[in-house]
Amino acid sequence: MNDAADDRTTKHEAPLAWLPADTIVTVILLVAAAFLRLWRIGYPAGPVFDELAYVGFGNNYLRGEYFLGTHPPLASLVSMVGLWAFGIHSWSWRLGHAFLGVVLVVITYLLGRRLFRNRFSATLAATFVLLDGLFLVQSRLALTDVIMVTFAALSYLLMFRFVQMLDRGSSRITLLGLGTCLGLCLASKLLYPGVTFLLVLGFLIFQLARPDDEASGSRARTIVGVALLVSSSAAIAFLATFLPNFALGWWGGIESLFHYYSEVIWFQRALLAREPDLHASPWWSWPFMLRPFVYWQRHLDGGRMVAIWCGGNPVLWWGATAAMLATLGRVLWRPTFRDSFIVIGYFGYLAVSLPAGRSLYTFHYMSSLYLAFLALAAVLGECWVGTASRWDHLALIGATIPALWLGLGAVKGLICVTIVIGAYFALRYRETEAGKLVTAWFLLTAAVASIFFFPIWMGLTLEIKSFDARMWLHGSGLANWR
Amino acid sequence: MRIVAAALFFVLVEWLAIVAPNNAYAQNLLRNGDFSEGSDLKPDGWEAESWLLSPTTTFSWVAPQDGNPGNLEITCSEKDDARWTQSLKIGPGPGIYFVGAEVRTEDVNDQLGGAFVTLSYEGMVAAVSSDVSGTSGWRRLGFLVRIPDKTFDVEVKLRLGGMMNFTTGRAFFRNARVLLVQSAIPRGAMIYDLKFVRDAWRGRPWTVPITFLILIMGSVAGWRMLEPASGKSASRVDRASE
Repeated sequence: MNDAADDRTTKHEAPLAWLPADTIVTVILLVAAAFLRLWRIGYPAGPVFDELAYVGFGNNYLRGEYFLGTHPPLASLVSMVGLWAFGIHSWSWRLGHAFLGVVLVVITYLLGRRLFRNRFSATLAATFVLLDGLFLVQSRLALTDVIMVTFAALSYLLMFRFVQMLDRGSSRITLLGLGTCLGLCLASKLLYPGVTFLLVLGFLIFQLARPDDEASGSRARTIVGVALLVSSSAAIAFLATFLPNFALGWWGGIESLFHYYSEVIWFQRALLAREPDLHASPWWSWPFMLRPFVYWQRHLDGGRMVAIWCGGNPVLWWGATAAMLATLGRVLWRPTFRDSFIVIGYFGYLAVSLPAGRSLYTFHYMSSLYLAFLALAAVLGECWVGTASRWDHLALIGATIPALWLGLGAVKGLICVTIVIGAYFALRYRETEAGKLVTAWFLLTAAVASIFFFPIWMGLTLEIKSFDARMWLHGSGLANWR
Repeated sequence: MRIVAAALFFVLVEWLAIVAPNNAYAQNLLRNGDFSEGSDLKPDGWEAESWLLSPTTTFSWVAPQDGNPGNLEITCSEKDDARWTQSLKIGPGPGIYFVGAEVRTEDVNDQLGGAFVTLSYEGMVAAVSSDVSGTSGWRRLGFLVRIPDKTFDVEVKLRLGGMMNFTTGRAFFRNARVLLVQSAIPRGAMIYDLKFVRDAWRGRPWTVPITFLILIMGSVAGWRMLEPASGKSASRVDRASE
């Protein structure tokens, strides 16, 4: 697709028509996501990593015992609903998060259709979310991040839906939904959802402020109306998640909300005083996946073990970083609404980590990674149809080289790289075939990597040496996957 | 007569000197603070609680035997925040109370939370003692708390681990006490004040519906500002499809 044309027409572009193929893809994604998110969801039976806190908070709601949550309460409320409905079981406290993890896959497909106007790229983006380890693990545990990313993705979808809408009457319902999603996103975690809110509202206003057929007075009225409707509905949804605190008598008035945030900031500052966590990693290391770590593990008899590893698919991550840099280059050279949104969002989520000071972890990359997967899907889609540049091709092939090297060893890795580069240069004058080769090669290596790492995302039993073989980086410094 | 009076006065002064330190504190407000009473392996007046109800956390009561006082025990083989809890009324204020117990630990993870004593008011932790971790012999832990007025419903918790300080190991508690301090408090002693805890989260309840009302009005205003002008959206559709 021509980017300049995309930039001009985003506002009035009719979305893709819904075809039977869309229904088939959606159903397949839904079934696959439900299987991967729900299969053995009760394992392990005890809390994993920060579930200890969030599930405990959910339990406190049920028992009416006051607590000071270190994040806004939505994740705990989601756990609480499961505990209330089905009793205290590990599967019941994870069920709501898994449901949102399933929904996220479908939302990604719908978002991709609107962003790319290309079903292939949309399917790729949803498949990356479906099969990447970080998204898989976070969806199967009662933690905060999958909730935040799901409501952020839903906000992106509704924003693009609004931008592409022509009927302003029904667009108000879209804006109301958008505000509600932004409010729920804000209620899911500290700090990062603030970027979602500013990103979505900023791009919405930017798009509305661009000259079109509307008179400037009418445009100003529209901008104010949109800002009011979205902000107010977001605030209502956000505040509504704190209603149990008022209903249980823990909080007296709206002042308590401000007191809560002052307490949380105090707590976060207190974390600064703690000794650095061995699992912590700086923000710049996340795109290179240097410091994922094991959330939970048990050693079994017979030299076997089970582990849940908070790491992603390295091929997808490194490919997404390459695609993100390619997209950044395009934005600097010839910005479009879609690419600018992805790039500003990606770096915005990273930038908010800069002043944090406290220990941060690889999973804090999730909201940036989601946008990087969208960029990767776009670049791969362009490779497939032959519109990507040679630099895009080489960047994607290059992203697979470290995985081949680390996974297969130097000799076998070098042989594979030589074969694919040889094949690529043999096709160098046939743009479409070369692009298809790159796409196929990248997806093949990503699929193999997903199968390889699958057992340590799902907590399946492995030989200890098999687990060790998956820990490609195990140095004493930052580059350590254990 | 003077000699008798002087002797009586001397005896009284001596008695006060001996008895006053103990009587600087009045009666223990905790029921069964010495853990001497119980049935069915449960101490009277105390409830076991944990963050998550998990079989990896166990609670037990050891009745007094062979001259040793009774004690309560908590074992967390996985990370948890577990506690023995008693609800009581403390006051009337104004007054200063001592809350504490003797604590012993075995293999309590010293990188995480330890064993300690807390006082909760309206579900909130209002006062916290120092903590003990690792493996240690019996140590006295406690704190002073000011009751500003009236009588407060509070909970004393003897705990292993705390909120966001989940820990593992084993802790023993004995001689838990809540006593009105009748002697002078040393200058500079740290005293928790329930008034601040009570007021911190207190607010004006009417502010909540008012806030919602203002936000709803904002939404309605935005909604009405986006009212489609008649025939306009249709013309935009036509133009876009041209």
